Amino acid sequence: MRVEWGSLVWLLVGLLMAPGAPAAAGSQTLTLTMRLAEGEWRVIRQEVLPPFEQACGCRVRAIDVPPEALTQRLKAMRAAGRAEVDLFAQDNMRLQELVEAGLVHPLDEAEVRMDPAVLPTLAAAGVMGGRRYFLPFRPNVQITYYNAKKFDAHGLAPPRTWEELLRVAKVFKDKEGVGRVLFQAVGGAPTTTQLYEWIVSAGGDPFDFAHPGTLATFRFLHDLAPYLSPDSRRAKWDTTNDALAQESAYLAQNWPFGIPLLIRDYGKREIRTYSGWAGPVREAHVIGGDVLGIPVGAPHRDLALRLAHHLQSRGVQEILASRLGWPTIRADAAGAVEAWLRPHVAAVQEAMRHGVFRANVPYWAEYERIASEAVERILWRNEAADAVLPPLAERLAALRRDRR
Amino acid sequence: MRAPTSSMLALLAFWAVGPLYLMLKVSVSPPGEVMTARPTLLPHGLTLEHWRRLLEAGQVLPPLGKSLLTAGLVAAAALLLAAPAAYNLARLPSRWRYGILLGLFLVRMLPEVGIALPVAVVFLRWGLMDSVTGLVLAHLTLVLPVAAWVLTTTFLAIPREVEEAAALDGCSAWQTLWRVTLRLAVPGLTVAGLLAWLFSWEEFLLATYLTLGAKTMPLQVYYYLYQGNWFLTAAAATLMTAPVLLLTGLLQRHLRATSLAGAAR
Amino acid sequence: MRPRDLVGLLPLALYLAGFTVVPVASTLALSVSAPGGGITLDHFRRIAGHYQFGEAVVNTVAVAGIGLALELLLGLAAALALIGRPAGRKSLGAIRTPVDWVGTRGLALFTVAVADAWKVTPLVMLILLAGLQAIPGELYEAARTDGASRWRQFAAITLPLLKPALTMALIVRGVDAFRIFALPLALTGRGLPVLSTYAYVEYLEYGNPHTSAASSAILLIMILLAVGTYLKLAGPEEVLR
Repeated sequence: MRVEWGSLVWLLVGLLMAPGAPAAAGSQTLTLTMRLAEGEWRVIRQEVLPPFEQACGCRVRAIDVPPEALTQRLKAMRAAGRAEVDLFAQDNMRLQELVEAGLVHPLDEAEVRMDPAVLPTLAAAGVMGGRRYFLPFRPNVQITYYNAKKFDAHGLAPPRTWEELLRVAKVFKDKEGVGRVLFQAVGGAPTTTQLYEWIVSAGGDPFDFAHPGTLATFRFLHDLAPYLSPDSRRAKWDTTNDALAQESAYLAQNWPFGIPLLIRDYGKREIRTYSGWAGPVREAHVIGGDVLGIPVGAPHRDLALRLAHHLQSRGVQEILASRLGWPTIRADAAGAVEAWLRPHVAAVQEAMRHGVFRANVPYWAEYERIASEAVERILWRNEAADAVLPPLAERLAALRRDRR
Repeated sequence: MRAPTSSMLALLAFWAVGPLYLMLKVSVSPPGEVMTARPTLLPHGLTLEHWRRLLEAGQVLPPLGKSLLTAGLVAAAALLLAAPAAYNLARLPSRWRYGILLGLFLVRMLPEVGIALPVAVVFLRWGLMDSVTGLVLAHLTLVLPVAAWVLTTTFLAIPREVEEAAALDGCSAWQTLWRVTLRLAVPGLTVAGLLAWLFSWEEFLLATYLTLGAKTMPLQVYYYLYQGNWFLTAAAATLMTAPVLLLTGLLQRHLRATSLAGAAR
Repeated sequence: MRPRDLVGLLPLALYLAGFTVVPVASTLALSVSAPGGGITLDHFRRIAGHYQFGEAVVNTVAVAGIGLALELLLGLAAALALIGRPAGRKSLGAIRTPVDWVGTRGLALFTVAVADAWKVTPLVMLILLAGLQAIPGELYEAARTDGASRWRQFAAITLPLLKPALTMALIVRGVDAFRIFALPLALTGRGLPVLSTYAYVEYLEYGNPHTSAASSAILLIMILLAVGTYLKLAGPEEVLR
């Protein structure tokens, strides 16, 4: 016993003397955060960053930070008065909270020097409330995955319209006793993203729940609900991959990050992709992806801007396109992708042609809550869209008035 | 009584081990065997491919080391701080005792989301981002109430008479404490230390705030979970479970009471 | 009570007071402070009007109740079965177990409670094991010579003497059971809101620290009420000797 207590004391002494943060280590170390898969990190660390480090004579500390944690960590760092991040890449669905909390440094157009080869629609997306906060880095778009084996077995083709979608969902439910079409109905960001493009494809206004196109979308979802996969209720971006892999769902929309996972890692070659279906009015897919930003109080602001330019450069964008199959932000960057990836890259490009940007409204968080409530009640509690929507439409209208 | 006890143990073992088995099994299965509508319960193919990929990427051993160090220090510091407090608490009138204990518990009665940020900010302000020290100090705020309670109960269970008897035998106050009281408290100290260790080992939210580059093991397992790759997740989770099994196995003999009955005479 | 009886308590009390009084107080303050300054009950009114809040309260109580009952029963059974045979103590793993989620609420509640029980039963068992080992063996010997049945021994010796350990397990675990968070979120998405996930969603998804703090405060009050009721019913003097 005595020996153990003695070692405890030494442990405590060691603890008190343990080194703190490496804040003082080397003034020319830039910190860059992103959320990437391991294979993607390898390309960034081995092929993208070294040329920049050589050119600037500095070191880049590249760190994996998940999108939902970035805001929390920046908040914590600001509250503590210690900013440690110079440049971050963040999911463009989560920018509002950064700007509202005053965590990101505004940029002026002169210092940004946007390269003319960057696609103008993408370049414009970093501006919020008349000020530029973000720079384009990686555009992305949801595509549709389907299990070709199961479709063939029931003599079905991937749906191209809402009518076909409903028919496909009904056939699966009739033949297998359980729904096989997935809608990401967990609530919050995944649900709102998917809902957004469905409403736009019906000609509706996502922010107006009294609009005929919006009403039509919810009525259609209400009709579709009984034939949806029960996994829909907890389906978000990662669990959608599980449902496809384990064949509890045969048709689902999701981001392209599932392609290497499902097809290369899990070896499920029967899973194919295409851009998706059109609504009654048009085909529409929300453009997502990551943009670059500089936090307030970043220790190396100028270098961070240089790194951002490097990441947007033609050379880097070509590496990302050819090695990872990412869509690029530039008109002049194209890469030769591996053969197995080609049909999927084509699906992404096709979806991108029907791309729409999500409007940045100041009441986005509240909007997500209202949209999630609508989905929850109309899909899972079987309430009629025409009864649920009017009071929610009132609340949305009030938000638009208040927060303008 | 033999038969029901052993069948109960078998049932408990199955309840306990079942999910662990599945985790281990997934980590060594070829993808085709798991990623179907009807995955098999028994292994057919066997592959170390996922483990090779996990270890070769080199992203999992540093977090393992950091978490081991952190949890060890948390357990040690928790015992060091909580044991004297508990010893005092056990000798207080009961109204005071549980009043103070419940007071200490106040911080644990709020959801973690509300508490983690303000707690973390204190240590961030001291420049403890990414450091083991900051994480240990933060974990202690949530571990200490539990450790104090467990140890208070432990010291309560040690009859006063034992200490008095030791004093009569000519032991000094310190000798009594070291040789008699603490020895009798070993099972309780082990339980408290283990609880503290386990809490720190799997703590997530404070670690989220207090780490940037140097991840802890739960954050790294979450990374694989978030990427969606079941096999890497299962392998990393197995790696995270192994130290728990090892530690509980090693500490088993300390969980048994030392001949308290004899000492009480 | 002499001052030197409190010397050991001091470092711990100072540590916790220094680092936790401020967070707890700031959460409570957030729940009643108006954005423009001043005190308001608006945040409570707002969450009370939210369609998922009532459900979250009910779910919290239900999950905590079912989970605690399971954990205590299993933990006690395991501790009793293991005493004297130190084999097979098991870990808890922070992993996603492949539980099939089924659409009805009752089943979701039960699934979450069972998963929680799986995770923490070993902890309850450890606590109870330590308590059981503190019971002197001679008591049982004496009871046996008097011809008492196993059940009689359990009811007359084990249970009363285990009360402090049971109380501790109940409170240490109960406080955490009310705050259950990761499991409902992982297993059911938002299908099963509880107060902790509600506070989480309010804070991190909808960026509203006030309503989040208000639901935190309600959880705090519920826990204090539950603990108080238990101590009242069980009789504090007896429970904590």
